Formats: sequence, C-alpha cells, structure tokens
Amino acid sequence: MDEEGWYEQGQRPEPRPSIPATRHALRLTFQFDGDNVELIDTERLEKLVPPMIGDPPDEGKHVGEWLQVRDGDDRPIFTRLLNDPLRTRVEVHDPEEGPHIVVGPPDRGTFDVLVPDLPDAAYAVLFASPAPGKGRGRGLRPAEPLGRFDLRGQGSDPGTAS
Amino acid sequence: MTTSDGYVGATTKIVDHGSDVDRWCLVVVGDGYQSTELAQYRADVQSFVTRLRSTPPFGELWCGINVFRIDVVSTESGADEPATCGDGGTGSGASPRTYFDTTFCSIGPGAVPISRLLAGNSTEAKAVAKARVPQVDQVVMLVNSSRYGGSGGPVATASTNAFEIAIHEMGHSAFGLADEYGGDGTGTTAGESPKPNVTRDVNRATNKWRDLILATTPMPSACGVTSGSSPTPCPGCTPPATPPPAGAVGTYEGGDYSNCGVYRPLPSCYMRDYGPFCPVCARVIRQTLTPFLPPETVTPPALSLDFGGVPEGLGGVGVTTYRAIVFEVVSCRQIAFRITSGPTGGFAAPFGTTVIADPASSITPINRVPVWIGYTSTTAGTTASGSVTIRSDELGQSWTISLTARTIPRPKSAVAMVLDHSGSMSEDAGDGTLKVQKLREAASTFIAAMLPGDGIGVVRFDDTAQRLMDITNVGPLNGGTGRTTALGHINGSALDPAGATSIGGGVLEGAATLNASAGYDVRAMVVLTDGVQNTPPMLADVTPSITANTFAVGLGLPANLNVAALSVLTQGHNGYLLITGAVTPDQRTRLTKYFLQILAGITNAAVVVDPSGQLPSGTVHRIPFDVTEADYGLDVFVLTPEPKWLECVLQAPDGTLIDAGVLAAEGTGEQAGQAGLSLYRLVLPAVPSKPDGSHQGRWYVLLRLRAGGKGRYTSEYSAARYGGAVPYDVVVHAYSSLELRGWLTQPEYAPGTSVSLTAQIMEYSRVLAEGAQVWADITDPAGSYLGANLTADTSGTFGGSFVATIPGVYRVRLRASGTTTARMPFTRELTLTAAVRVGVEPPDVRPDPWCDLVRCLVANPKVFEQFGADAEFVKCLERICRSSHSAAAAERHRV
Ligand SMILES: [Zn+2]
Repeated sequence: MDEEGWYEQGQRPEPRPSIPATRHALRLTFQFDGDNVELIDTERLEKLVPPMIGDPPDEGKHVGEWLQVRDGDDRPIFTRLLNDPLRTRVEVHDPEEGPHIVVGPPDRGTFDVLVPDLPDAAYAVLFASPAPGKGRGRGLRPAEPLGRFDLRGQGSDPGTAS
Repeated sequence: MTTSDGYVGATTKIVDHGSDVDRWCLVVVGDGYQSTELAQYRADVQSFVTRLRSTPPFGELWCGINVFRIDVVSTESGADEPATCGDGGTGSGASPRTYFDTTFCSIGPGAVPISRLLAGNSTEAKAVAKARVPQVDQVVMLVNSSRYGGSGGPVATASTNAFEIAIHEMGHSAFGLADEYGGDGTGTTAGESPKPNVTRDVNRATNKWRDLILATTPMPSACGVTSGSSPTPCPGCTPPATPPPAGAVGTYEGGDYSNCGVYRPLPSCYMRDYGPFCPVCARVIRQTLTPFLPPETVTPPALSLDFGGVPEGLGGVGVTTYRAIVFEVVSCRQIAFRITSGPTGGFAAPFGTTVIADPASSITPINRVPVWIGYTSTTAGTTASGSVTIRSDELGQSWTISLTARTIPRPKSAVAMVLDHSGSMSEDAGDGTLKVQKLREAASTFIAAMLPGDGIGVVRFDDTAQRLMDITNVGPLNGGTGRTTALGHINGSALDPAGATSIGGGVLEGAATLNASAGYDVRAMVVLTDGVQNTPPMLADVTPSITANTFAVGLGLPANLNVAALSVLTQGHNGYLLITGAVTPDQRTRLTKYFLQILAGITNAAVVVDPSGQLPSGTVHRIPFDVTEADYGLDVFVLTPEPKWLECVLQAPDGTLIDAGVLAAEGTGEQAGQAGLSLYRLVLPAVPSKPDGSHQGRWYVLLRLRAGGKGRYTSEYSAARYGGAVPYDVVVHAYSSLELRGWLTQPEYAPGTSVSLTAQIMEYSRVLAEGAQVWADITDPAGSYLGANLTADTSGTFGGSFVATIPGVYRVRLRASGTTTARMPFTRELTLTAAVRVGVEPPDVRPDPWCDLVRCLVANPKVFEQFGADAEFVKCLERICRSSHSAAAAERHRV
C-alpha cells in the first residue's frame, strides 16, 4: 500500500529484516573442550527466531565466532554471530575500574545456538578464530571452520520440519 | 552447595504479550532467595523488568517481549563471598547453601579468581529455564546480594543493585553487540570485527553504520590515547579540526578492548559505560526484536456518534451524559489523540482535548482509548448536531466524527401498590412492630421518594380487592398532592388488617388500575403479601393476563408464602421477588430497603451503597461512596427512627459541604423528610460553578446527632433508647448511565438447590466487563456469611452459583466495583433473595365458610349484637379459625 501520509517523518517503523521469519526453530547444543566441539543435542521447536543482523561475516576475512547453516550444496543460508561461545574471556564489572575483560586459555563447557529450522538446512558449520597462545585470547587470526555438523535426520519431531 | 540446596517453585508469566512462539522470551531466575524471601524476589524481578523496559529502546519493543519469573528457592540466603580472594579482594566469608551456588570471587579463565565476578551454575540455570519455558531466548539470574557484581555468558547474572550488568550482558548474548570500551588490545580482534558496533573503518563511504553519519560529522570524529600509565595520542588517528556536536554518530576511537585503532559510534553507550544505548546498538536491538512485535494497529471509531434520546433532567437541570469515541490501539509506543477542532453544536469535551494511549498503563498492548464527548439535555424535543475532529500526530491521521443527540421527556412511571391487609398483617413482624406498621413505613418511604411526574395508585386486598386510589401524579417532592393523598391511604384505616388473602384478586385490580391510567411510559406493580393465597382468583390464573413490570415482596418466611407462584409472576414481568424472612431488630429497615430498591429499578436509578450503623452522640460518621462521570443525579436516603436528631450533610469530592441550603441556592436539589426518613435529591454537578469538584469522585455522607436541647429533648436521651447510639441506614441511589443488572434463578425450592446468579454491568447501554468485578455477599437463613465470586464470560456477562441447604431466606447482596471506561471508580449493588423450604408449595387453602361467617361478624359488630352475642366470644371464635387455618396449611406442607 501507499504509506504516504500515514507516518510523520521519523516515525516510520523499522523495516522488517529481509530474512523471512520462520516459526520453526532448531536449538543446537554444543559441548566443547578447547577447540574440540561436538553437537550433543538438536531440539526442534515451534518458535520465531531472531533474524540475522547486518552483512554475514566472511570466512577468511573476519575475526570472531559465528555459526553458519548451509544447504545440501554447502551454500550458507543463515548465519548467527556468537559471543565468545568457547569462553576464552570473562567480563568483570568493577564499580571502581569500570568494565574490563580477563582473557584466558581454552576452556570446556556447553553452549547453545538458536537457528531457523529451514527446509534446505543440511549442515551447521561453527567458525572461530584459532586458539592463540596463553593470555592472548582468540581473535588474532581470521575465523576458520572449527566443526561441521550434519543436521539431516536430527531431532525427534519430524512433524514440525516443513 | 548444589541444586540439592533448594528447589524450583512456580513459573509465572509476568509480562504477557501473547504466544511464546511469536514473542521474544526472557526468563528470570533467582539465587540465594529463601522461601521466606520470595516476596522480595518478586519485587526484585519486577524492579529489574521495570528497569529493562525503561531502558531505550526496550520500551518501544515491549509488545514483542514476554517475561517469565521462575521462583527458585534456596536453602539459605545470599551468595558466597570468600573472605579473601586471590586478586586481593575481601568478602564477608559467607557461604550460604543456594540452588545455583552463586559466588563472588568466581574463577576466571586461567584459574584466576576475580572478586567482582559473581557467577553461578549457568548450565543448570539454563536447563531450569528451558524446562519451564521451552521458547526461552535469554536467561537472567538475579542474585540476592546487595554487593555489586555480575557476569555474562549463557546467563546474564547480576546482584540486586547491579541490574545494569545484566542488561549490558544481554547486549552481548542476545544482540551480538561488542564492548565499546578500550584497553591495551588484549582480546581485540585483529582484523575487522563482524560485530555491528565496532569497526576499524573510518571511511564514510564504506563504514558499516555510514547511513547514520551526517555529512557534516568529521571522520574520524575523535581520537583516543594509548592505555597505560603515560598515555600518548593514538598513532594513525588524525583528530578533527572541529569536534562534532554532542550526540552526532561518527567514529570515536577506542572500543573492542583497544584504546587505539578501533572506533565506536558515540562517545558513550551502554556497551561502554552503561549510558543509553548508542543509535547503532539501539538499531540492532530494534532489528532483532521487531519481528517479535505484534502488528501495530489502530481500529478507528465509527464516524458518527449518536447520543440517542437523553432524558430531561430533574428539577430543570439538564442530564449530562458522556459518550466515548473509542480508538482501539495495539501498539507499544505512546500514541496521542487530540481534538483539533470542535466539538461543535453544543457538545463538550469534558475530560480535555488530548488522550494518550500509554502502553505502560496496560500489561497487554491492547489499549482502548476513549475520547469523551459530553451532551447536556435541555427541553424535550430539542435536537443537537455537531462534529469533532480528532488527530493522531504519530499516525498522521485525522478523523472527523459527526455528533447527534436529542432531548426526550423523562420516561414517566406509573406504579400500582398492591397491598395485603389480611388479618395476619396484625402479627408481629419479628422485631416487636406489627407487619402492617412495617408495610406503612416501607410504602410511605417509597411514595415520598417517587419522582415528580410519576404516578401512584393504591390497591388493597383481603378476600377481595379494592382500589383505594387511581393512578395520580405524585407532584412535587415536598407537598405534592398525589403524594399526600397516597400517604393518607397508606397510613389510614383502609389498611387495617382484616379478612383472608386473595393475592390474585389484588394483582388483577392492580393491573386494572394501571390500565386505566394514561400518559405514562412505564407501568409497574409492587405487590406485598405476608401469606398464602386462600381465596380465588389464584395467581396461576391471573399471571398470564399481566403486562406491567411486576415486583413482589414476601413479608415472612418461605414456608408461609407462595414463593413459586410469586416468582413466576415477577420473573415473567421484568421484576423479581424479595422475601424478608423473619425481621430482626437489627434489620428493622429491611422492608423499606427492599421497597427503595424496587423504586430504583422502576426509575432507572442504581443502588450505589447501602450501609447501616449506630451513631453515638458527639461523633461524626463519614460514609464514603463513589460517583462516576456517568451519574447525573443522586438520592441520598437516611433511614432512622430519630430523624429529628440526626443531622446529615453531603461532602463533595472537592470538600464542599452540601446541605438543603446549598442545594436551594444552587438550584440543584432539595431535601425531603417524613417519619423515619431524610432524603437529599440532587443533580450533578451539585455546584455548577465547580463541575470538577462536585460531580465524579469520592463523596461522603456525614452524620452526627444534633446538639442542644434539655431534659428528654436531647439527642443523648433519644440515643439512650437504642443503647446509646441512634441506628441509621444510609442508601445512596444514582441516576446514572452505569447500572448493575442482576438475576437470581433457582430450579427448585428444596434444600440443596443450586442458585444461579447472573449479572451485567451496563455503561451507556454498553456491556462493561473489563476493569470490573462482581461478587455476592450471601447471608444464609442461620445468619452465616457465604461468599460467591462471579466470573465474566467473553460477552461480559458475569455468572456464579451457590448451593442453598437451609430452609429459609438466603439474602444475596450482588455487588460490583471497578472503574468506568473514563477510569473513575464505581460501586453498585443489588439485593436478591433465594428461598428454601421443606415440602411443596403451600397449597391454596380454601377457607372454611363457618370461619368466613365469624370474620364477617367480627367486621360488623352491630350484626351479632342484635343476636345478643358476646363480642369477646366471637373474637375468640375468630382466633380459633385463624389457628386452625395455619394448622391446616402446616399439615399440607408435610405431605
Ligand atoms: Zn561487555
């Protein structure tokens, strides 16, 4: 429809992101020990998933961590930026010094990522910059695939995948 | 110190904007709260939620968010605080056993303990959240400690005075934002970060937030200095000649843990120093949450508003009514509707010209926004038409609504009182006064309070029925001739008790009396009886021929009344049956109150309150009642056996005291009085020059005993007769566009019957359910209190029920309270009765002809004197007749 005259300047609502909203989601739970990452649980659930924001990061260029969902031809179809999933730093909120981080060596633990349950999804690929030496944190070199996980046949509720 | 140190209690959805599938779900868990501290926990969660909502841009996105609170209970209170921490920090040494085992001085990467790092078992916290709320997007853990601390990661954790830590950490985990503070470069991404709010790119043509940078903003916008003890300007950054103005988005050096080489959008941001989120971060949050927002909609109102016929007022003052132009708004931002022109044509905007739909005022995003328009009636036959234009600046839309109204005559009512004066009316009502005396009090009050222009007629019945008075205009409140004539009949010998009971005959004559009248819009019959019909015509035979609205009052116990027949008669004719039961001394005015409620039903008044009390001398009683904008007149009744000693004034919401003198001076009302009654009748606003202070709001009835006098002519002397305090009842009726309608039905009268209650609140002829509650205070025949709540269905009809087990009368005080659409508080009430008795409906007892003869002799003493009979002997025969009559009736009951 023609929106002219319906909104005052500056009052126009945010445009909806271009990724189509899906109400089917996958909650992928990973377990890690240093750079060793395993997909330990795939939960299918009915849920609207937060969209991708901004341009997806480039393999070989960007530094950091993200999870890519790829189709059967290995083309990326969704990317979720992650915030230090492998826990190489902690943030300390000090009322005197202000916030700062403390960086450490590789750790172990679990994390989960919510992605849309897209019909074409075949693989999840976890990107992370390689673990550096002691005390430096990740992030010195561009991220590279740390693990590749088959999403086909995962989950226990086939009725929601469509 | 594990999850065995407590348990997971209830989960509550404290912010509910719809399905969890479509909303962004925030789950809050607690740690270190004992079961006795749950109230504190709930308050802390509420504070956090309020803080989050008031942190832009979350408020405008609030409709997209659901919030859950999980009541996690710990065995002990607080969080672990090691006495000494490896980084030199100190703590209290406390080590409480808590569910998630949260501790200060948590171990950071590389096994380094950090004093301010407050963290618990985040894996377990996430598992609890997922188990309770599968659609969870973010978990926040609030820790019951007043020491500042928190942490990020999978669960945003904060102590109760460090909510900003949790919100900052959500910036990382939920929205993928980078830290915007600097540092020595440890942890800084070597190349371009994929995060949306930090960059190394100061080129205005390629920068990732370039669309927010004005052409006049220098790039870079500010340069930093190196970290360390002797800072120097960062190499590679050329400071701008003129710094940008405050708030200009640009590239300010320092971010992502490096003072140099990395830039952020504004000097300050929540991701740097807990200041407001910078426009770049706020946009990311918006983009993330916007898909979760329900669509913003405004359902426009109808483009015409018709007040219909508004009746002429009382005493020459117009009736003011309000109608709302209602916009239904589903939005999370404030949207204002303002009148930009009008209202014209004599209409008014009684509550100002701007109404704001404030999403903060509602837990759901749906907001009904009323723009109120007022109309005051003038003289019958007058019409009004005008228009009003309302604009929403936010939506950039205007609506012009046409307004119409007309003044109609006040609907006039004719009332036929059909009164039992059979012999049994000479019996004690239960409180030491005769039933006939009770009837005279009640009927007199009714007649005294009737509206000028309404008509009254009087019919009495015993074996037969006689019309004592045709329907006649009662005339003015004070000294109306119809009123005086009717009162003369009520209090004269025509109602002295004698004879048998032909209720059907009375009803037929009442109907005939009404049918003979002309010029009335409403016809109503009020039937009072104390016994079982024993002379034809019978109720069952006459009921089908009745057309008037019919109310009945049974004076006595259900076992001695034709409950079923009277119920059929009244419920089929827009009325109801009220049964007094035995009248106790503390309920001496019950019959009068029943009559007043019936009068209110006939004249479209609503019962606001109905309290009673005992007033000692030297004391002022203040009885509050709420008046709404929908009310346009008031009747305030004070019923007391000592009206001459009781002083009564009204206090308007602005404190103005109102008595008969004020009402006379303002021309807005008058006072009337007679034995046992003082009545104020006034229109609203009571003081036209103070429309805000003397209309809607909290009013009071102020009562005190008159001072002065001597000897037995003092209020103290009078009060002494009632144990030192004069009893009174206050009844407030409102002439109003807000009414409570109620119905009581019961399928049978045997013990164990289920009594159904139904109610509707009508505001300006529209069902009001939102913001209202309806309940019933029920007194059973044994005097015990029962309560029943009525719940609203989707149509706004309230329903409830209770089981009546004890023979006798259940008095049901149906009560409603809430706020009107214009957000004014109100109360309403209505008394209904249910009857229970053992056995079947009392049979229609046919009198013995011998007893008829005896009654005839008693009524005509001259006849038996001719036979030389002794008067005392005949009276004795009559008593025998009366008791054998009751015995026969009682015998049939046991069948
Ligand atoms: Zn941070």
